[in-house]
Amino acid sequence: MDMKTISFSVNGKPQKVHVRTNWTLSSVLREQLGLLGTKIGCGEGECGACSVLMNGKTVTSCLVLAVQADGAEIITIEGLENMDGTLHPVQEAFVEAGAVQCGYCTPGMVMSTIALLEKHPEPTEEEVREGLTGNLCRCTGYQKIFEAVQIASKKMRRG
Amino acid sequence: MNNIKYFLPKSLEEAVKYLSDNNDAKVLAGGTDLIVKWKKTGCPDMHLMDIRGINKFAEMNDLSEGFFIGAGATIEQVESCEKIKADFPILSEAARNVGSVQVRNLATIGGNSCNAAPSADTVLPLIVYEAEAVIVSVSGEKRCTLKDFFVGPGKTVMRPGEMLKGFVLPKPKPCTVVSFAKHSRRAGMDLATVGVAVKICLKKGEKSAEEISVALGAVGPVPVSVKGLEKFNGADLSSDNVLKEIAEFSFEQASPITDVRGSKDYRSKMIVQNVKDCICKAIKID
Amino acid sequence: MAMTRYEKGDYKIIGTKRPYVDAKEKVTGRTVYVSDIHLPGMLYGKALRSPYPHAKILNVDISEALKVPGIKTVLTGKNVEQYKWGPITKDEYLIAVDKANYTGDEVAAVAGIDEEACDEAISKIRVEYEPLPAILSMHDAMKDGAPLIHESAPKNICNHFDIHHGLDTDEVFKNAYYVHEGEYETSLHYQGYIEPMAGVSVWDAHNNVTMYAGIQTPTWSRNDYAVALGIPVENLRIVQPPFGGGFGGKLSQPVHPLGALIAKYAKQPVRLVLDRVEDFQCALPRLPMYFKIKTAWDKEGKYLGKYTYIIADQGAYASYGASIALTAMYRIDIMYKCQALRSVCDLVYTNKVPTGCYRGFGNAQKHFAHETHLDEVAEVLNIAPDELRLRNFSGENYKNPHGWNTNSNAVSDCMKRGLEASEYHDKRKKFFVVNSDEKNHIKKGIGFAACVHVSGNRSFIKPFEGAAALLRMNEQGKVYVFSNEPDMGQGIRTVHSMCVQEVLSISEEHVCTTTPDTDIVPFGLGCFASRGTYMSTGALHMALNDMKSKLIKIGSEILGLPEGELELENEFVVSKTDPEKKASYADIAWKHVCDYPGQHILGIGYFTPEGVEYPDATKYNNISGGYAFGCQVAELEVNTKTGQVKVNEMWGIHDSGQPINLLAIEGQVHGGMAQGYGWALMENLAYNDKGKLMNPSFLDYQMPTAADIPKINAEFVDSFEWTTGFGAKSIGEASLIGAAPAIQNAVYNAVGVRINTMPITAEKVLKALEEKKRHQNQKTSVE
Ligand SMILES: Cc1cc2nc3c(=O)[nH]c(=O)nc-3n(C[C@H](O)[C@H](O)[C@H](O)COP(=O)(O)OP(=O)(O)OC[C@H]3O[C@@H](n4cnc5c(N)ncnc54)[C@H](O)[C@@H]3O)c2cc1C
Repeated sequence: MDMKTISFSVNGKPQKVHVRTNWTLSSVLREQLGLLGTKIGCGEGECGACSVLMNGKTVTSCLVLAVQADGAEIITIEGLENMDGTLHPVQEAFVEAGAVQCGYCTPGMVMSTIALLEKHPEPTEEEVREGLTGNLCRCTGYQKIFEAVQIASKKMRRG
Repeated sequence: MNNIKYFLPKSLEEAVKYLSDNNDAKVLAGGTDLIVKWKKTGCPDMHLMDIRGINKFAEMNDLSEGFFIGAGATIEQVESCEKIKADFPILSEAARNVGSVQVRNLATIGGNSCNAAPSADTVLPLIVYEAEAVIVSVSGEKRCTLKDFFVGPGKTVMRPGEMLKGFVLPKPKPCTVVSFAKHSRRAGMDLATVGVAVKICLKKGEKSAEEISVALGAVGPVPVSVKGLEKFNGADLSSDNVLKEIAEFSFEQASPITDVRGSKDYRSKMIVQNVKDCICKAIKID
Repeated sequence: MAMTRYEKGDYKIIGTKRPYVDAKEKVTGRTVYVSDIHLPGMLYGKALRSPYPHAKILNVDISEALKVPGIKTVLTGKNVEQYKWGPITKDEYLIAVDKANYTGDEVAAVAGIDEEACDEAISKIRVEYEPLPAILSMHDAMKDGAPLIHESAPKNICNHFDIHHGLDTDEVFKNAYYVHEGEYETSLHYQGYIEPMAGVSVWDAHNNVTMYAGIQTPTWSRNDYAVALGIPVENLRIVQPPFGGGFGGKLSQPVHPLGALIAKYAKQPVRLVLDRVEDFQCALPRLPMYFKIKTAWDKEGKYLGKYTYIIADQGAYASYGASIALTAMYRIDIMYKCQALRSVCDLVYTNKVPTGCYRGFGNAQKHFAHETHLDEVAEVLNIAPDELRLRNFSGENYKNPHGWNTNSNAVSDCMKRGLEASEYHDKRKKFFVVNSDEKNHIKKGIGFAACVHVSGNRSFIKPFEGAAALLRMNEQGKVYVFSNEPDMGQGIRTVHSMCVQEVLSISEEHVCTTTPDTDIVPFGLGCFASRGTYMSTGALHMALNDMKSKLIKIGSEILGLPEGELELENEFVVSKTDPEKKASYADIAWKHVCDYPGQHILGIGYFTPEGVEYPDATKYNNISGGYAFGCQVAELEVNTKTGQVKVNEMWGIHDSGQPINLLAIEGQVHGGMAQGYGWALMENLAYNDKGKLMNPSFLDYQMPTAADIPKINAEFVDSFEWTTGFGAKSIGEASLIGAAPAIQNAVYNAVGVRINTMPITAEKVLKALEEKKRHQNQKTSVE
C-alpha cells in the first residue's frame, strides 16, 4: 500500500502526517487529527457536510485526496473560535437565529457562510441561496439559516 | 483493491513523459468526477497523475488566434474571469450552473470535457464558441475541434499517453449573440435534463442570421453539435415558424433516453422548447 | 369524573425565543455524533446486501473473506444465533437466512480493523442466488399468481383492516345530494437526515450489551432489539448521543441490532454506519399508498359520509406498517364532523425497501389525498374551498364516531389567519385575471390545506401511555433533567430547560438537560407520534411542582417562615413580604444532602393524558390527549411551456397549544413544510423494472436545496391545551402534512390540472396540460 508524508497547515498549525495515498482529506482530518467537526453525510460531494476551507476556498473534503492537500492551508470548523472561546460572528449568528437543529450539516454550512460573506459581505437573497446550494440541510428548511447569514453579515461589517 | 499509486508532476513536460511511460495512469484534475466514480465502484486500485501542481495548466490568456483556457482552470476561475464574462458570457453562465460552490472550486474545465458526460454544462458553450481542444503528448501538440472531441459516453478522441492542455476559443464576430439554458428538475445542484447553447451571428440591424450554431446536452450518448444549420442562414428569426423549424431540425439530431432525470418524451419536448427559447433570448424577443 | 384542567400561566420564559441549549457545541464542531464515536478496541462493521429484489440464497461461501487481513469475523444468516423480529410483525432476520426480499437486504456481515478491510472482505463473499420473480408495485401484490414474499402473509397481505363507525356509509351514499370519488397515490419519500443510520455496540462477557445509537425511542426499542438478539431486555442498555436527524426514520430499525450482533461475534466493540447509498437502499422511508376516496355531501356542503380504500405498500418487511396504515385510514376524521366513516385497507408486501415512520405517519399520505379531494368537491358544489371546510370543521369538545374527542381546537382560526396572511382571496381574484391572458405562459396559483395530527398516539403499548420526568438537584443547586424523550434536533432539551427555568426561576446555566441513557432515565416511549412536547412537558410540569414544593419546604425550615409565605425567585426561596428573607438553592441543596446524607433533592413527575383509552377491537376510543391543527398555504407559478412549478412562498399557521420555545417551533414548521414541499414536487425513490433503486444519491434523489426553497412563514394562533401542564400540543408532524396538498391545490388554481400521483413533476404537469388542451379542442370541435 502506497503511503506519503504530507505537511500542511490546519487551523493555522503546521501538521505533518503519514497517510495512505487513497485516504481522503476528510478521513485524515477526522481520524488522524481528531477534528470530528468535519462531518460525513454522503461521501460524494453532494451534501456539503464535510466542507472545509482549502487555501481560502470551500471544498468538499470527502472528494479531495489527502495527498492533494500537501502544502495547503486548511481551515475547519474547529479553527474558527478564538483562543478565549469567543465565537466567530457566523457561529454566533447561527446560535442566535436558531439556524442549528440536529447540527450535522452545521459545520459545513458555517464554512460555506464564511466563504459566502468573504465574497459578498452584504449578500442579496439570491447570493445567499446560491452560496449555500452545496450544503443540504433537512431540518430547518433553510429559513433560519438565511436569517443567520444576514445577522452574521451585519455583525462582521460592524467589525 | 484500494491502493492508489499517486504521482505529482511539476511541469507539463514531466507530465506527458509520465503518461507516455505509464499507460495505466489517469489524469487527476479536480477529482469531482473521478473520485466519485472511484468510490461508487468500490475503490478499485488506481494509478493517478495529479495535474494540480502544474500552474501552467490553469493559465488563461490571450493568444493571437483566440483566448486560451488551461484545462486545469477551475470552473470557479472560469466563472469569475472578467475576460470570459465579456467575450464568452454563456461559458461563464454555464460554469456558474455547475454543481455547487464547493464543486466549482475543485472541478476543472478540462475535467468537464474529458469526463465526456453528455450532461456536462461547460461543453455546450465551448462547442458553439468553436473551441478547439489542445491535446498534448510526448510527440507534441495537436488540435481537435470540441464538437469532434467526444466519441462515446465517457470516451474522447484522446489516446493513451495524451492529455488535454486546454481550449482555444476564437474571438466571436462582433455581430454575435448567444444564450444558454440548463433545464433541470431542481434549481440548485442538479445535472441537466436538457442543456442548450445557441450562438447566432446576426445580420446587421436585423433579426435574421448569418450563421447559427446550436449545441445540445443530456440528450444522447455524447454532447450534440447540431449539423446542417446553414440552411437557416438568412432566415427571419422573428418568425415563430422558423424558430419551430430550427428547433425541430435540432431535435432530430438528438437521441434522448429515459432516465431518472426525465423521460425520452419529455426530453424531446424540452429540446424543442429550450432551443426556441434560447434563440428568442439570444436575439431578445419574448 | 371531571378532568383536570390546567390554566395558562403568566409566563416569562415559556413562549419566548430561546437559542437551543446545544447550539454552541454544534456550531463549534464539538458535538460528538454517533458516527464520531470511537471506543477503545473498536472494529468497523459492514453488511453485504442482496443485488436482487427477490432471490433464494442457496449458498454463502465466506472462506475467502475470512482470509482478508484485518478481518475478525464474517457472519451469515446461518452461522449466528438470531431471531425474527420487528416492531409490530416479527417477519425479519438481521441477516437473511434463506431468501433475500429486496435489493439491499442484508445477506452477510463482517467486522474488521478498518473500512477498507471490511470492503475487501465483503467483495470476497461468494453468494449463490436463485433469483425469483419480484413484486415491484403494490398494485401487483395481491394479483393471482403473484410470487409470495412471506409464507405468513397469503396474497402478500400483511394486514387487512376494515373500520366502520357511525352511520352506515352505504345508506348515506344512497341518499346523498352529491357523491364524489377520487383516486390518489403517494410516492416513496425518504427522510434524508444528513447523518446516516449509525450505531456503536459493545457486547460484554455476560451478554450485556451497550448500544450508542441514533434513536428516537431508546427505552422502547430495547424490547424489539432484545428479541432480534435473543437476550433479556434488561441486558440491553441504549445510550442516545446527539444524532444527525431522524424525522421518524430512526425508531426501531435493523442497523442498531445488526451492529450489536456483529459485536457479539467479533467480541470487540463495533461501529456500524451506513454509507449513503446503503441508507437510500435500506432505511425506512414513507409508505407509498394508493387511495380511493368516496365522499357524500348535501347541497349546502355538509360532509355526510366517507369511504376510503387504501393499498399501503410497506415493502419487504412490515416494520411499523400496520400502525401507519391505521393512521392513514382514520386520523383525519377528527378534523371534520362527518358521521358515517368506513375505511378499508390492504397492507401489502412488495420487494422494495422496507418502509417505516416518517413525519406524518400515514397521515401525510391521507392529507395529500383528502385535502385534494375536498378542493375537488368544493368546485363541484360551487362552494369556496375555505367555506366548505368551515362548514364542516369539528370544534372544541367534539367527539367523533371513532370515540375521539378534541379539547382545544383552533383549526378555523388557523385557516382564517392563513388565508389572511397569504392574501389568499385577493390573490385568487388577481391571478384569475393574470392567468386569463392567453399569451402569458407563467400562470399563478394559490392553494391551501387544513391539517390535524395527534400529540402522542394511544395505540402502542397497552396499558402504557404517558411519560415521566425525573429532576435531580445536586448539592450545588444545579438541576438535572432526565427524560426518555430524545433530542434529535427538534430542540426538546431546550424546551425542558425553559420549563425548568420558568417554574424554578433558575438560570439556564444551572439547568442541565441530559441525553437519554436507558440505565438512568425513566421508562417511556420516546419521540415519535408528535408526543415529545405534549407528553414530556406534561410530566415535567408535575416533576417541577414536586421539586418546587420540596424547595419551599426546606426553605421554610431554614427561614423559619410558613410555606405559604414563600416563593421562588432567582434561585432563592424568598419571603413574599420581606425580600431580605431568603435562602439560596445552593444552601437548600446542601442542607438536603447533609440531612439525608448524600441524597439529592428529586422532583418526580408522571403524566397520562386524561380521557384517552386504548382502542378496542373495532378501533374505537380516543387515541390522543390533544389534537394539533393547522393550515398550510402555498403560492406558486406554473410554466405552461415546460410544466415546471415554482413555489414562491408558503405559510404554515398552527394551533400547537401554547408554544414553549417560539424559535424552535418556528423551526419545526419551516423544516416540516420544506420536507412536504420536496415530497410534493421532487422526491421519490424510483425503482427500475429489475427492482434496483435508480436514484440512491443526493444528486438524483432530489431534496430541496437553498436555491429551491421558497420563503416559509410560520405563525401560531392563540391556544392552550388544558390537558397538559404547560398547555403545549405538538408540531413535529402537523408541520409537514399540509404542504403537499396545498401545493396540489395551488397548481390546480394556476392551470386547472391535478396530479393525483405524486410527485407533481414538471413532466406530469406538462402532460396533463396537453391532455386538457386536447380535451378542450375536441369539445370545441364538437360544438
Ligand atoms: C456534487 C456534484 C455536482 C456536479 N454537478 C455538475 C453539474 O451541474 N454540471 C456538470 O457539468 N458537472 C457536474 N458535476 C461533475 C463534475 O464536477 C464536472 O464534470 C467537473 O468539471 C469535472 O472536472 P474535474 O476536474 O473534477 O475532473 P476529474 O474528476 O479530475 O476528472 C474527470 C475525468 O477527466 C479526466 N481528465 C481530467 N482532466 C484531464 C486532462 N487535463 N487531460 C486528460 N484527462 C483529464 C480524468 O482522468 C477523469 O477521467 C458534478 C459533480 C459533483 C460531485
